[in-house]
Amino acid sequence: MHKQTKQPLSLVFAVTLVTSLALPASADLGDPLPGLTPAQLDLWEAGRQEFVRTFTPAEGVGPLMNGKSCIDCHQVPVDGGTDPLITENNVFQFGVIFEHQFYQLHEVGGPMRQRMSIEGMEGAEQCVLAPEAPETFVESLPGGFISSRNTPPLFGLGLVDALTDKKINAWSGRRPWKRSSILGVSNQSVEVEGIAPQLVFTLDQVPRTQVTGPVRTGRFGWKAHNSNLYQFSLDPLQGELGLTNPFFHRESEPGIGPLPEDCLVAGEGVNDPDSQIAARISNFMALTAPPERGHVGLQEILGEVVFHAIGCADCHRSSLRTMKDYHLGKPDGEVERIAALSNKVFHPYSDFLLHDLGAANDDQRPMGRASGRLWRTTPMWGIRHKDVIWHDGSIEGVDVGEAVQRHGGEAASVRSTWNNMGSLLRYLVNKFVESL
Amino acid sequence: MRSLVGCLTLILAALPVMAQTLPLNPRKPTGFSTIEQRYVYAPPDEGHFEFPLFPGSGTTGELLIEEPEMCNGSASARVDYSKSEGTVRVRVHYDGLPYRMSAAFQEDRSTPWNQFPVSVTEGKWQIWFVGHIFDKYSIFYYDALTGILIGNEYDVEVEDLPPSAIPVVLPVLHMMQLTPHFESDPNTLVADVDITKDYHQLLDAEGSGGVFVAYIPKQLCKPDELTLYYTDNGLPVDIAMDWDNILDSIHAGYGFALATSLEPDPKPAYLKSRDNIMIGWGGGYPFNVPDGYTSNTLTGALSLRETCETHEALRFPPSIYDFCGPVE
Ligand code: HEC
Ligand code: HEC
Repeated sequence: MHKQTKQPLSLVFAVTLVTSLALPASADLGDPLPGLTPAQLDLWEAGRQEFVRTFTPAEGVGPLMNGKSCIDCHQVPVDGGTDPLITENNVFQFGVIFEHQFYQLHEVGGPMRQRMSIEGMEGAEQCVLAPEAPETFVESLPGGFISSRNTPPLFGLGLVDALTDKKINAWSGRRPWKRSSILGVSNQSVEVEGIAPQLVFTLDQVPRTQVTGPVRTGRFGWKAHNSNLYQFSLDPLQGELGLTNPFFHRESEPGIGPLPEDCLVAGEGVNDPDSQIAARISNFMALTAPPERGHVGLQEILGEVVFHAIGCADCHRSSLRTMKDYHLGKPDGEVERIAALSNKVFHPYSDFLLHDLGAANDDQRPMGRASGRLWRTTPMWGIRHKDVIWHDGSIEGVDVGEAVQRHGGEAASVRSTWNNMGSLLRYLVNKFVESL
Repeated sequence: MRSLVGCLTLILAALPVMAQTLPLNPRKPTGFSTIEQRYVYAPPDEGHFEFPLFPGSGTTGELLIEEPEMCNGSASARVDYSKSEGTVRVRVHYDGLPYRMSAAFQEDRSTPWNQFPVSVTEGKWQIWFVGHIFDKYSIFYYDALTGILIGNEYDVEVEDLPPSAIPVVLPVLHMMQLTPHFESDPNTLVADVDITKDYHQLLDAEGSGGVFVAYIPKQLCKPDELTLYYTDNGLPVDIAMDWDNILDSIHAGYGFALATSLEPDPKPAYLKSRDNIMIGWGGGYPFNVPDGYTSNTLTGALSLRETCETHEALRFPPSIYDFCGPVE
């Protein structure tokens, strides 16, 4: 028999609030996850050094690239964050849509713009190679388009890596707890293990390949086109920095001809032959702590209630739990269970699914199962640290009202609820979002 | 004529690379997730998986059947496999399978290589078991003088080919007819299929090794203008699918699918081992399209489903390249 003690409700509420906010051990933005072992902290630190490292042409950067270091783009307000130049470093995907078919325009350096070249850099004095400028011609081609993508922050991504496919998929499609117009579908990609020929028509001398491996539910990138951090380390190393590895082994080329000899200054073979740099960087991203909540007072709590009540949370899902045993692939090829990422509840405010946001958001660029109109629900944790929002960075500041107006398609009904509700309720939702 | 020959060399340098050994080839995919330390989808040897089927799941150039009873209904499949027992069992349940429906294309979709019926009257259904989605390769012969597609290695006699015939290796989808004709209960529109096949030798209802389907150039000078191509008369038994390889294919990220086609009854001889390109319920594993979305049959990309009606899928677009140009 135990004694029942009666407490005033307000006290219970306050106590719950305090404990729930105090629960996670605190970490400053960009710090490693609380609770890592000393050996795991070493992995984080070794990865951080690669993440902030500026690579030289001799080490493999370029010949064409978008940056010399991950922090050229992921830097604000601390390493791992967003673009120091706000939208200047936006990555361009370009191509042509002709009769509903997508053409990657390999002939002119597609499908991703490389806005820099190593021409004139130390060690590449002889190299003559112009950066790509599809913006000067693509949009004048019939069906030509450019999709401009802003740099997202990378804090807490280990928790996202540690979601099972099942957890993400369990939220897809029509569900009794969602508004009837809201569906959601997962994208898919693989955990990289091998490569196979890519089924794409091209005149290249060397075959284009795609990565193969256990197929997994996508969760990273604006189109959730990537399923795991190891791949999202291998891929930008090659795609953004030009540092090739066994899985992404082609240098970005300006067209179908070979790159000038004088620009191939990093020597024979791929630049990261054992994918060690990639493995270290993926460990850094996996072991970096999520952003902490800002100030939470009554207004923010009420704002979150409204956010749920009007259907925002049908996509911007507040809470998820990671898998029971998350295993990190380490540079030495071993895997290690990470307690700090296993069986943990976290609050990303995303379902990591794709949603059709209507014709106005059609960027034309299909990626996996995502057509131009489908976008991943942007995780809203840490949004208060952003200078610009939306996939192209086209909304200045955290302007929630403007963001909601851009939500069409599946979210159109939620948008009209928003438009019909009083300004006090909108104010509260704003306060809530600004506290994330 | 010189320009034609010149351009063909260029293209041939490009197309057969698909079959070459790649510059690097890391580990063969195992399907075992490093992160989860387990087989996330379809464990090897023994197991089962289930997936839903959706209306109108055909591909480019096909008739996509989406009738109201389908959009209001549902269908699902379950595959159980056991290497120790040597079996692959497929069960499909349909709730909303149109009974003896009729359908027609606006015009004849036959190609110089394959004949297709323009219409089907009071058709019945068949299920197609799609084990390999473009992770297999086969030789297609083209005429180097004209660039025109002659046919697949299983459809032509090498002895009968013109001396100018050249082999080009291209990716194929390998599937087989899982069932003979079946139909739903006319009152409930419910149908159940339960069929067991040999694990290591998946032979179709006619006893053949199935059929290759390819999306390949009709003419090498326009390598991006594709046509649908089916091998005819059933593939040899010795190249029949093996469930072990299908699991490998799932593990490598290519996936597995089932499709339900509307068929004339009786089937004309030319359709003996292949499907009529009018497709109703279909679905894939491990990833599927939730109800409410529809996919662009050319790119596979999804968008919201706005209508429910039987319609013709997009066709292959004309070429944007023409490497032969005007012949001098
Ligand atoms: C030129 C700027 C730029 C550079 C350099 C860059 N990134 Fe990014 N990063 C982006 C952009 C833009 C996106 C969004 C891409 C998309 O989804 O289309 C992105 C997305 C990501 C994501 C997915 C985040 C999420 O929320 O899902 C990861 C992980 C990532 N980058 C890691 C890296 C790593 C590691 C490096 C260095 C090897 C790197 N990036 C270098 C611009 C950059
Ligand atoms: C149907 C699903 C869905 C619903 C409902 C929804 N959102 Fe979103 N939200 C998205 C998607 C998808 C994006 C990414 C859009 C893009 O950048 O193209 C997004 C982006 C945002 C962003 C920008 C985030 C950033 O950092 O770029 C904000 C802010 C936002 N949503 C707020 C809301 C609010 C407030 C509501 C409720 C009124 C809401 N959303 C309802 C799917 C949804």
